[in-house]
Amino acid sequence: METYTAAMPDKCIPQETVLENVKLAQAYVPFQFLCSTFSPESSLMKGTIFPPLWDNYRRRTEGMVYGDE
Amino acid sequence: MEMSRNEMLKRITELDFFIIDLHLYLNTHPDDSEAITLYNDCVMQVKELRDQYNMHYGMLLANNSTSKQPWQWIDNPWPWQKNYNFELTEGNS
Repeated sequence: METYTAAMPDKCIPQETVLENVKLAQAYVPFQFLCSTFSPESSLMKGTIFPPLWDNYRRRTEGMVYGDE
Repeated sequence: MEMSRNEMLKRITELDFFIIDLHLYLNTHPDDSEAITLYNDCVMQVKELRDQYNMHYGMLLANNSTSKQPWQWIDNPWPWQKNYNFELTEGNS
C-alpha cells in the first residue's frame, strides 16, 4: 500500500498554529493533525506510523562524540 | 500473486501495527474523516489477508479460524518457534 498523504499535503500543517484563550503561567501543547504516515512496512521497522514522532537516534560507541559517524 | 506464508504473516503484522497506531490517533481525533477512511481500508485489507492465510496455510488463531480436515492447529509451527516468525530487517523496510 502507498504511503498515505492527506488530500492537500502542501497545505497540511501538522499542528494547530494559533492558540486561543491563553492564560499566563500555563503550559500549552498545540494540537497535532495527521498529514502523512509511513508505509505499513516502514512503520513496523520504525515503531510508529507518524513521521513527526520518529527520531532516528544513532548508536553511541565508546570514544565517539554523539552524532559522529 | 501468491504470497509465501512468511510474507503473508509479515503483511498481517504490519497492517495490525498500522491499525493500532491509527486507532490511538483516532481516540483523540474522532472527527478526522480521512484517518477513519484509512483505518477502515486497513481493517478490511487485513481481514481479507487473514482469510487468505487461513485458506492457504491453516489456522492463524486457535479460536477464531476454521479448520480443514483433519484438525490443522497442531500442524502449524507454534508462535514461539523460530521458524514461525519472519526476520525484521532494515533491508525490507
